[in-house]
Amino acid sequence: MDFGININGDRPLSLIKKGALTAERAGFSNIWIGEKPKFMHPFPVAAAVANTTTRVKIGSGIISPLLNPCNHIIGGYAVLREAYGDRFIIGLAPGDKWGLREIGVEISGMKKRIENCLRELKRQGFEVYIGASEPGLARLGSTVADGLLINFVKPEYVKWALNTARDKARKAAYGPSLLLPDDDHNELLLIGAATVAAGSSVAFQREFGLERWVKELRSILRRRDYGELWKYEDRLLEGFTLHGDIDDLRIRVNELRALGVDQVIFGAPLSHNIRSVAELGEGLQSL
Amino acid sequence: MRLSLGLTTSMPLEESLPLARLAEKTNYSRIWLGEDLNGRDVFAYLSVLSSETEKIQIGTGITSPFVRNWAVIANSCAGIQSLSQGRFILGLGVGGIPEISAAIGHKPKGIVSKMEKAVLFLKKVLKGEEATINSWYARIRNFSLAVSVAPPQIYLGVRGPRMLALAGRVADGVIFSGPPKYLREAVNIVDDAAEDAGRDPFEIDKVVWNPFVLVEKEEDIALAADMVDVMLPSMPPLAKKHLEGLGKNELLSNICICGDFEEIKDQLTDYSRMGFSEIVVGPPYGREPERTLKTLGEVYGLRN
Repeated sequence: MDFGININGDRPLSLIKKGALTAERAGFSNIWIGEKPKFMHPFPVAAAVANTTTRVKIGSGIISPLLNPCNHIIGGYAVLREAYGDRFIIGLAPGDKWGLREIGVEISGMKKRIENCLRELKRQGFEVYIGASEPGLARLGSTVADGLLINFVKPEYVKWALNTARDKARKAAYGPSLLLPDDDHNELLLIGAATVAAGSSVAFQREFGLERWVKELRSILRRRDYGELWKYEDRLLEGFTLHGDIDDLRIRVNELRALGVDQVIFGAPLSHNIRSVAELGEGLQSL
Repeated sequence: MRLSLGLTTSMPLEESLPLARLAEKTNYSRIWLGEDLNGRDVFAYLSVLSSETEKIQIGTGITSPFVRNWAVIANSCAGIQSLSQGRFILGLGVGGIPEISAAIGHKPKGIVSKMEKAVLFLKKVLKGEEATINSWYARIRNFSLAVSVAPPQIYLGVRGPRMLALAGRVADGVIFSGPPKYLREAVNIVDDAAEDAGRDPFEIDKVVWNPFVLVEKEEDIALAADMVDVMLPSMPPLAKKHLEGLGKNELLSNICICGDFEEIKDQLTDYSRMGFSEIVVGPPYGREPERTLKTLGEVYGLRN
């Protein structure tokens, strides 16, 4: 089992670099950099992480070919690979379609655009994971790509996401995470969970009867009325996060392993707490 | 007169990084990175240059808001400004129309108005404010960045009269290119527009980026001649009218900064008199790019 940490470009780069170095020293094999329009772009963040670390693999988790033309993604990782060696994994997914619409991104023909970009990246020798937010992408990811990024950590949801995936594909499960106790980042965990739920695919929402709830979450997030999320605390935390003390997290890791997951990615806000990164890395070493 | 280094994304890092390090060492002021649309990504490339240098300013020379989502331009700028610790300059331009048309699937329309909106949007967002654009060419609602950075200066690399006037109204600096007679007219257009907008024209930084060749042997002229062939078709009418009927050698001296060291010194003096504060030493440089940069840097770079 491999372990990854997700770091986003929503914090000063000095803290990002410190977090990346701590993660590498604590034994994490992968650092996954998320993309959101309001975050710093994954390219400068990836360059900062690559320049600070020596061996950890650096992934985009995810980068969207709907937001970035595919030739920019290829050209970006080509130059990063040229500078820092073959340490990059490209996690490709549509991204949060609701958020993309807010910035005028055309999302029609999404699957075809992802498939074309995936094939071009593979042709150029990149390691590519596909965000398996819906069955069609899971199938594509497990046949053409090197692996799948699953944006869920609840076993029931993970099973659904993997339903159409081929067994041989590598599978990495991601969820907003927090090593407790950590009173400073509780609300960020909740926002992270709500963001994952709000950005989930229609197929996922239909499967689990979440359409109305997701609509309400989107409204709350759009208004930035984050206090409202607390009324869904249990549902959000249970459904979409990894949280607890080291023993709780080890249990969750073992659950995911039993489902065929071979990498667990501890999503933000865990990486905001450098001490948690070090403690978690140490606590996971025996797994 | 400042010297800066011009690179392009078509250059492999093993070629460009030694030049970037040398430019920094010999006190060049800036590195401008030209974008080849089908090559390495300009922002990723600048991310690497930021990490590999310490004090020299770095900028896009240019990137196009016609092929990139403006939110992505903003978040890329924020990342590089942060990574470079405040050394970043955003150079914007339209780019080559055939290349842009191929990239977006149609000929760009409303170019001046769209560029103006892009500059104003980016200035606002990079200052840490929230911005909304609701137009036929861009729809971005309540956008702001998650991190605050020192707002980078915005330069425009433009050539047509309406775009030059726009630069005079809204840009912190302008990257010019073309023959000297055109450049005089272009500077006047920028300055007049600046005055009309209530700005001091001297506050607008003026940069020239023409092909640069230090000629040490007769055969070096072939390097410059190749650049004439590349540059000539893309010249705007305002520049082309100054090139009509010129012979090969005159074309060379109009389109390129080229000659031996003494001749180049004279040309730099002429540009300075025309109101330019910076010359970009860009490809093809000369037969030995490192020696060209070093020679010029030792004389001009150290003065600043």
